[in-house]
Amino acid sequence: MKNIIILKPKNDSLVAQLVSFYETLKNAEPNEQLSFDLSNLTWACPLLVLPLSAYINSTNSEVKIDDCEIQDYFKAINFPKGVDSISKLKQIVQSKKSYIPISILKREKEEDREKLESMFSTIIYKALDKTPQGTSSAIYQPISELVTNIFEHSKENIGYIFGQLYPSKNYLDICVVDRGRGLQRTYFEEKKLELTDAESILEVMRGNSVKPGNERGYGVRTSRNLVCDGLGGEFIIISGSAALVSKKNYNNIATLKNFYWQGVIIAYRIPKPDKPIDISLYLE
Amino acid sequence: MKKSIKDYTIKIAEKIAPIVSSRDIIVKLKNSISKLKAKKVSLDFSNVVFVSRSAAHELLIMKEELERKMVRKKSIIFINTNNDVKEMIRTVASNRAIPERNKPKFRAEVVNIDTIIKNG
Repeated sequence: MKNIIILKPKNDSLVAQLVSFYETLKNAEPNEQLSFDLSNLTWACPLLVLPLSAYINSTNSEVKIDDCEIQDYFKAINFPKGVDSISKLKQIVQSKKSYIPISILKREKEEDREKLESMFSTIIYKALDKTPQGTSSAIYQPISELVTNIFEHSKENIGYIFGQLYPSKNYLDICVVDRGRGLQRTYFEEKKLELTDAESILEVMRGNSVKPGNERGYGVRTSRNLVCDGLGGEFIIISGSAALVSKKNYNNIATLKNFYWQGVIIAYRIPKPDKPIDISLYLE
Repeated sequence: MKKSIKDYTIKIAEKIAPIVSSRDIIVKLKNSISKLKAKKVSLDFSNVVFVSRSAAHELLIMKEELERKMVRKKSIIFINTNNDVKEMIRTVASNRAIPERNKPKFRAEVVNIDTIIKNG
């Protein structure tokens, strides 16, 4: 099994985490079983932690955290296994007050899955403490839309969500991941569209839904608009061999050479809201 | 669910969750309501703090379909909605009534991965 040393991100930025993750899986075969060494890490945010967790769980890869400076953090968030029940989530949140564990949502659990996601979102929102009007909806809406997309489109039975508030840095990071068929295959299988991974991401952002009717296809775009335009945050999508990095008035798309992510990764960072927000302006 | 022959009340926070997110859960709810004998079904949103746009859309589709049915037709009523839930359902309902024909444009600059690495 190939040993992969995960590089310490250059800085705290979301893009630096993306680069570290890209370097981690660059040159790996799709779904290759790997052994990850996290001993270089002194800090990690959800964009690095959650896709790694999903990868390890779905490929039965190995991970070594014992020599890692932030091993207590990894243990506190139940990395890489995560939790898939409300009782376990409650138990961990009560014992590790500053950390919310990685949550694993299973399709077949239906209402229990919805309750777990609901509890995750509520804990994230409450961690923000004293927020202006409209903040709760602004926190709940993108999580809800991105998670429902997993079970609507990915053909995968498991979704992953994880979030972390950084009180001293005054921002919140959220990541939603699946290991399903990805955007490019979804367009091909549902609409017979032959697109590259980058083109598929752009079609998603243009609201080209694979479902019939013109009332669908707004979930990811409106989430991006709410995060970037409404809350002044950053938004990243990775699928297959492409990544979109988005901020207010700024959208960059790139092909990730020698890299392939089966499924979709969406990560975003929002500064702690300090003024009221009306999400209806971003819903379309 | 509280049972009576004519009316039925479903407490959404208990049956689903305090945050209602997913379309598939609403589709499942519709299937279980379809089987009821009651002619009027109240969806009680007490303790529901938020309904996503997708879930609100699916709830409205469910309401329309169940009210249009020839057999076991039902009247669906949303009760005890908080302001956020009410606003979401109204926003989605108005978009259903007058849909936006042209989706907004989205433009992105195609960059090299090295540009992203440099920015990182």
